[in-house]
Amino acid sequence: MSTQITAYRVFIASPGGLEGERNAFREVIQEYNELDALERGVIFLPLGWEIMPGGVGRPQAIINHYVRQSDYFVLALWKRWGSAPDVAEADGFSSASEEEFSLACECHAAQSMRQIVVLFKDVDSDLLKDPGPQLQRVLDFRTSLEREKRFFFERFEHTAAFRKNLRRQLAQWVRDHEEGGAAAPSPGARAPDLDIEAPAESPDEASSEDVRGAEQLVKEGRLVEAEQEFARAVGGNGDPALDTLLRYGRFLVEKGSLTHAEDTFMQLRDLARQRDRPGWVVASVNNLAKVYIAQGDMRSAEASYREALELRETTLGPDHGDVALSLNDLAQLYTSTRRLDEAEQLFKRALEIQGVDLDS
Amino acid sequence: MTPSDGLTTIDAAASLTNLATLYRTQGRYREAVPLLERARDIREQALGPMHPEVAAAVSSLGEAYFLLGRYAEAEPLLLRAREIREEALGPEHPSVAESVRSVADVYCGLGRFDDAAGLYHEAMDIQRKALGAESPEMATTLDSLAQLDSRIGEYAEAEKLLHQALGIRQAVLGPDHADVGGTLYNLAELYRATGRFSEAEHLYTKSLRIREAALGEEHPEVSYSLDGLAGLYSTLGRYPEAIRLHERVLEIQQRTLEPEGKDVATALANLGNEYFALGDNKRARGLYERTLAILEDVLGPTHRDVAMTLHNLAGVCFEDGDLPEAKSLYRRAAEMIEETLGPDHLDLGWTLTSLAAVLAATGDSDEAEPVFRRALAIQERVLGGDASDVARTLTLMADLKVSLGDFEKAERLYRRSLSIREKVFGPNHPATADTLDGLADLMRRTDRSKDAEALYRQSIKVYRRTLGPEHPVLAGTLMSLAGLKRGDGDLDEAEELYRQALSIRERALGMDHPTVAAVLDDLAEVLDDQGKAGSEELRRRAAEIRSTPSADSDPSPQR
Repeated sequence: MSTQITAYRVFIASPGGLEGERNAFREVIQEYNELDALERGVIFLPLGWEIMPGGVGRPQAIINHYVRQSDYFVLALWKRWGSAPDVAEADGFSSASEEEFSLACECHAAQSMRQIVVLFKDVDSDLLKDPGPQLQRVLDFRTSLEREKRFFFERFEHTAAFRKNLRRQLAQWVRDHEEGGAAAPSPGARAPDLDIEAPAESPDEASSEDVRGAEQLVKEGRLVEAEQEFARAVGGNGDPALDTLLRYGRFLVEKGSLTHAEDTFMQLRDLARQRDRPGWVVASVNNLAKVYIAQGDMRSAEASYREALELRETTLGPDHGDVALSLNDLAQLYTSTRRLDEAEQLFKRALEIQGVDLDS
Repeated sequence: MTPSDGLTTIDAAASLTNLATLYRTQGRYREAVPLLERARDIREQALGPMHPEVAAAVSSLGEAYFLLGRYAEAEPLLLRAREIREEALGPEHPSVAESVRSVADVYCGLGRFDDAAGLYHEAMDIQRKALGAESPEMATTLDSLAQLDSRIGEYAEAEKLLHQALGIRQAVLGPDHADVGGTLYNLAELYRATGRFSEAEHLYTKSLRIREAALGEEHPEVSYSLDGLAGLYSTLGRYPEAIRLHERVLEIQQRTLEPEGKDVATALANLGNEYFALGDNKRARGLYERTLAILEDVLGPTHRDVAMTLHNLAGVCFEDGDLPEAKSLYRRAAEMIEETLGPDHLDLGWTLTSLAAVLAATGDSDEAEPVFRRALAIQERVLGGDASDVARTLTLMADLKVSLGDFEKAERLYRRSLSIREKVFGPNHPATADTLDGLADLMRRTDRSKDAEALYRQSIKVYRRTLGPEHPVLAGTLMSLAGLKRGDGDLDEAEELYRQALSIRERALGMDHPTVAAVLDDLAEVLDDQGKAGSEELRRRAAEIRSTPSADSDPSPQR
């Protein structure tokens, strides 16, 4: 029996440093073809510089030919803008990826390219503080996308997140195929709403001044600049103020950079321990637990919640209301991991502290 | 114990709500209610009556009543939650849509499908404005609306909505997210209901694979996919496989959910259905009784699901020939449904049809007739004249007419039922074949054996194509056709057909099943007719089966 299958070419452009993502690109497309696409009458063909037969070193002109033939274009960027291709230099392009992207834009305008997706990999705050010329080009490009809203772009943390994002796009493209509709990129899941905690005690350090500017930029939707501003505040001379780190962590959570948020809350915890501020230690480990849960790492979340519980028990006494809060957190975690009997016991202990008699 | 310092009462409300959520995930709905009532009181006192957190508490309480089937108590609470949220958060806040959706769920439960559909659309409008054209929340509402459409037989519309929900979830959450597995499961259920069995099997399996990968093998959601697959195997007559899967479902649920909770009760009932289909009524009855005890405890003595379990038990009594008990159980079920869901509910129509069939079987045809008519009136009012529930009632009414010798009326009823089933399910669906069978029996009784033969052959073809060549239902029709051929003097074909029926029953139901004895006897007679040897041996086997108490027979010989 012969079956009608529609093929779509997907081109990936990315400068060096993203080899993992380029491999993932090929693998995810293959997996997705087998899992879902073929069954629904679609096959995706991955294209890109080193995916082409013949390997590295082919003239840019031939690559450009493949870009023109493609239906979808993915541009992945990280720390580097890329180096100039020998021929393209003459045309005024500073890198191969830039040339490919510009060509893709032309095809998109001419409606032969169905969609362009730009994906940025998160960059460490150390680098953001003082980006070299390569990273600065990437940041400028992202700022321009943010301003112009011409193309869909999104950030990702690591290769696993890149895979997930790509699978979402592929699912959306199959759907577009089925519905014959104009492609609207998949916006993806919203960043998790984690309700980041601050300690009840007010920050006594002269803090948060340094992040006011960054938070203002967030409000204006200028996230690239905000991130750089935060990076400068956190990475300035000497250790940052506790409140500064907390606000930075919250910013990272809100934009969905959970790995960096995790690092930030760890740094906060260590500093709070050094400065002997148990309230801040509790807040930071509770926030860590929330980040772990959002990442699906329930074991680490449990360890963090346990640390908060023990710290509260020793500093506040076993019957303090805040101990009940920790019991509640831990019990909720057990509920979601289906350790239901343990959860029930902990809830009951919390309610006992809170003065609720379940038998009355 | 007195509260120590650092305590705020509002924190206790959170603990109470979370404990109630735990009970809810375990199916311990009744225990959740008093906790949620206290949480609501605490929040109302601390925050005033119009605070969003009060709305959340009121809403959880309403949902718990909904799960308990106490719709009259659920409705005002959910409406109040909506009002508070509209006032406190604005009419276009996503949580208002959640409230609207839960009110719609209650109307669905009450069988007020038009009201429910209107509210689902309202919820989607809000979700579109608040969350964009595509959100997981919207997909959930689409799922609910699709379930409603399936319920009232609007399968094409339901399928469209489920595909939409699936597309959203795949694109927004990724194709391997657990919720994608959920929508695939719903779609599989739809395919099963409409007789597209191979598509259904494919999707159940896909849903199972996604859920296992996302949640681990020991998760309640995994057990739901297994349960669906088991139900499909049961429909296809693959009982041993179905039993194996149902047992796995029970194992997972007893470990991960409350062992005496609602889900486990449902799993026990489903396992009971398999034994019932295999003719092991004793084991089926035991399982139904355990289901009943759990449900009465968890949901209270008057609940739709309790009524449906009585319905199952009545079926066992009917098969066991205990017609008075069957009658009384159907009556109790009908009264319970009318009391909880009102006089116009589809579930009442379904139960009344069953009751009427028993009344007809006991010879109370005068009593059966008006009960059939009442069922039909409900079904036609809710679903229109051409829905599968209506067809079921018409078929059973026709059976009654046959037993009264009113063949003309019976034929009209069968034909109406047939045309409905062909329209709803298409010509290739086992339910369509059921009606063909009934009509064929009627033709045979009225000496139109050529017409009867054509209908039997048609029905056999449909059963083979949809249920496979080994389904016990097929054996019944093969035997009817064999009897007809024997009457026509075509003994060779009669013998061949009996042999086919025998091998199906032996394989599907076991060598010692009572219905095997019936085929052995008929086959022996045909051999005698032909003057062939071997009838003695067959009769001896039949007698042996009959002398063994059926309850001791192994219900699943293939395991």
